[in-house]
Amino acid sequence: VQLLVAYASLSHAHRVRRLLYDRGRFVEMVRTPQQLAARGCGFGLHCSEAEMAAVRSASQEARVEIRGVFRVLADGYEALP
Amino acid sequence: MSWPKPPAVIDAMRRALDDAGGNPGRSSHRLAMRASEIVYECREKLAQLFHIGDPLRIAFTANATAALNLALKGTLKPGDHAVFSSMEHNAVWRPLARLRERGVRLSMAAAGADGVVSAESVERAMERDTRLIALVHASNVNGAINPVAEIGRIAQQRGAMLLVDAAQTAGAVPIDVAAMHIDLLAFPGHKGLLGPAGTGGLYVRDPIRLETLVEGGTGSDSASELQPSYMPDRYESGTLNTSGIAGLNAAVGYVLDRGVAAIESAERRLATILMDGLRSIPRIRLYGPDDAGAKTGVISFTMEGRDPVVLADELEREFDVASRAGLHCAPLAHRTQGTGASGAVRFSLGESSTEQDIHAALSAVRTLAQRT
Repeated sequence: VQLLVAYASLSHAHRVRRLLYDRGRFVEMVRTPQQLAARGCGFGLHCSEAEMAAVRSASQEARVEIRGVFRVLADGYEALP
Repeated sequence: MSWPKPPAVIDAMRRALDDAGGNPGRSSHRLAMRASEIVYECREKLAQLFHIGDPLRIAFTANATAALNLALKGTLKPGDHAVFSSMEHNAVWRPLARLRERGVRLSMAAAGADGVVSAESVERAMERDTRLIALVHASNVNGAINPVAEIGRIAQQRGAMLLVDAAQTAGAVPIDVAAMHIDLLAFPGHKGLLGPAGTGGLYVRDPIRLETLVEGGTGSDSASELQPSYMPDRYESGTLNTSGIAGLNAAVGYVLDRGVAAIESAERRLATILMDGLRSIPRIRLYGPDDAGAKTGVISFTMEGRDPVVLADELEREFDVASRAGLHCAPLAHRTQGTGASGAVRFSLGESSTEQDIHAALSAVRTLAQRT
């Protein structure tokens, strides 16, 4: 796992994960750490950098907002543009 | 008839209580995540059933009445104009009466003698600024199916929203929200969908046009005092009926496997036998369309000289034949078909009804008709 893609809603994360699954990709769904959920509570998807384009594409298709993309580090997270 | 439930429904509810006892969206432990998967699966199946492109546009509610209240009260503001039909259930009529007290203007589209609400009747009732048409897909009193696609086309042309009450048709009659131009679709989980009571939902084409009725915890954007603007969270405050939705998930899977068109066809075949049989019994009067092809498996009748409630009691006590008598929470529809004072007896066919059931019911009615 290299990246965490944050969504506002559990249902949004489910929808994107399902669209990715339909394209042969399996990504893990996780609770977004509180420090990254600026508006409080949310869920996200773990993916590799190579999968990020597919995650963005699926999010667009699902018409759900990506709330943030973070690199997973050994001691925390780094926000990516 | 919405009983018995497929065994898979009962199994799914039991499994959900055992293995999915968490609250979806609130935690990431196994029990909560499994619950959230079940809820999402059910959204997807419902979307497939109703030809909804985006499963997130379905919000779960406690029943169709809650969905209709949300749709009506979330859409109509003082000064707005809405059209409803003379075949509506109290689940539509009463919220509209409440909204009228708040300044919403209402016009009623009258049904024909057979209980069908024509597109022309709806169009006549519309005004230049009509915001919403609220229409029952099929009457719960006599089964008459309304031309929703035709009315949806008119609504679209005139810039009005179309709310469809699918209490009698979800799972029993094909529904395609895109082809029928439906903006809001309210459905129960426990009738034709064969799920448990306490489940239902609302499809919302455009959440921007629908205010919330209930606000609260959604497991999302919790730091904000404002209700989320996105679906489904916007309309799903508080803990969902997860075990009920698990049962509904299994039930919708069953309906999809069997096929709504096949269920509809089987019910129509039985409805034809039942209607023909009832017509052959003296003193019986049938209501609704003559052709079983124009209605659901709801058959409404009266027996001359007999109180419908007493008749239904006798059918149950003496012949073990279940029916529902009275006004069916739809006095407006009963007035329309001329049974506003007496009510009627209603037989309801279901996907598990058999020809044997029909003959037993006919034999019972025939015996009672000969007795008095």
